[in-house]
Amino acid sequence: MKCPDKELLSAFFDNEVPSPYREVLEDHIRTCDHCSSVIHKYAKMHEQLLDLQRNEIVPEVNKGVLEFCEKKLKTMPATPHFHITWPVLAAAAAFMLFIGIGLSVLLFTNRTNEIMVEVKPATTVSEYSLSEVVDYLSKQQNSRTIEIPGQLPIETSIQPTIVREADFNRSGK
Amino acid sequence: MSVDSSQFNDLYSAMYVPLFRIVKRITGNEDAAEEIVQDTFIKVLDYWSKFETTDDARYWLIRVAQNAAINWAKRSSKEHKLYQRVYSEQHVGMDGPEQTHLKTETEQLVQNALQMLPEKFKRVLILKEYGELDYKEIGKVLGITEGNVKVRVFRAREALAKALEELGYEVS
Repeated sequence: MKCPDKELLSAFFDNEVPSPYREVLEDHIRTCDHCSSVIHKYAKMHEQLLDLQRNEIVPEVNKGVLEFCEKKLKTMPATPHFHITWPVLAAAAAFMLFIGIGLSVLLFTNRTNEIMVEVKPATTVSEYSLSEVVDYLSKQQNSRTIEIPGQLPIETSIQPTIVREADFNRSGK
Repeated sequence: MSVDSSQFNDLYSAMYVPLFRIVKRITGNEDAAEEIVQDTFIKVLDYWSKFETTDDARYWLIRVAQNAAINWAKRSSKEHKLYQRVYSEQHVGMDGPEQTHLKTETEQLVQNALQMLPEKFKRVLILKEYGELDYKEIGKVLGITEGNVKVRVFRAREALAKALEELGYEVS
């Protein structure tokens, strides 16, 4: 077996290599002088680092501090703190985005229909005929641009008459 | 996490010694280590309700204590250098605040080599060796991935071996 890199040996030394790789490495280290010397070096440094604290006296737990903390804990409100976690926040954001896109699509579709009505080509009546114009207007709900060949521009004073005719015909039906 | 004094007591008992050791290694000063650890335990209460598990509180404690220790060491080092400049004849051979109360020559050598490491290597190695944390836990404390911890621990070991050799100590 080819020697593993030192990074893997370092992880092996820290017991961070899972089975079955660990056993394979163990077998290799047992028979490889180079790898066993690396492990030996790590072990020696580990011992030296631990030696620094070997004779160290850790001060006893400070009872005064502990009592102070316990008192402070008792004065803290017992109600649990409402905490919004990231997954919940992300789910809410995704939901809002979904709703937003849905609404946008719906509004856009309606608007397109409106535009389509608006851009409908202007109707041209074949000849100058008031009854034909009135007939046409009576069939329509919305106002339309009417072009009458040879009679442009239409005098604004005529329009009220046309409208009144149309209203009259519509209400008569 | 709800307010529960027994949970806090357990955390205090379990974390006091490892926290003291981590901070002591960084500061090299017993009094400072004790003070920093106690301050950190008092501070943790203000954040208690934000922790979801005791482990979250544990990682927070280590992170905050470690940062406080590094700040203390930097501050102390600056003061020490200033003091050394004024009274240099009284302080020959001392490199920083971490050099106090070392028992043997080898211990002093190892301590010096440890202090020579770049900050990110020193932090990870101290957490590994003195905090007794695994890669996953170190990652949580430092906010890095497990893979990153693995690489840093390895590089820290190599850097420590090199530093020891530079100081004239044969590791292998």
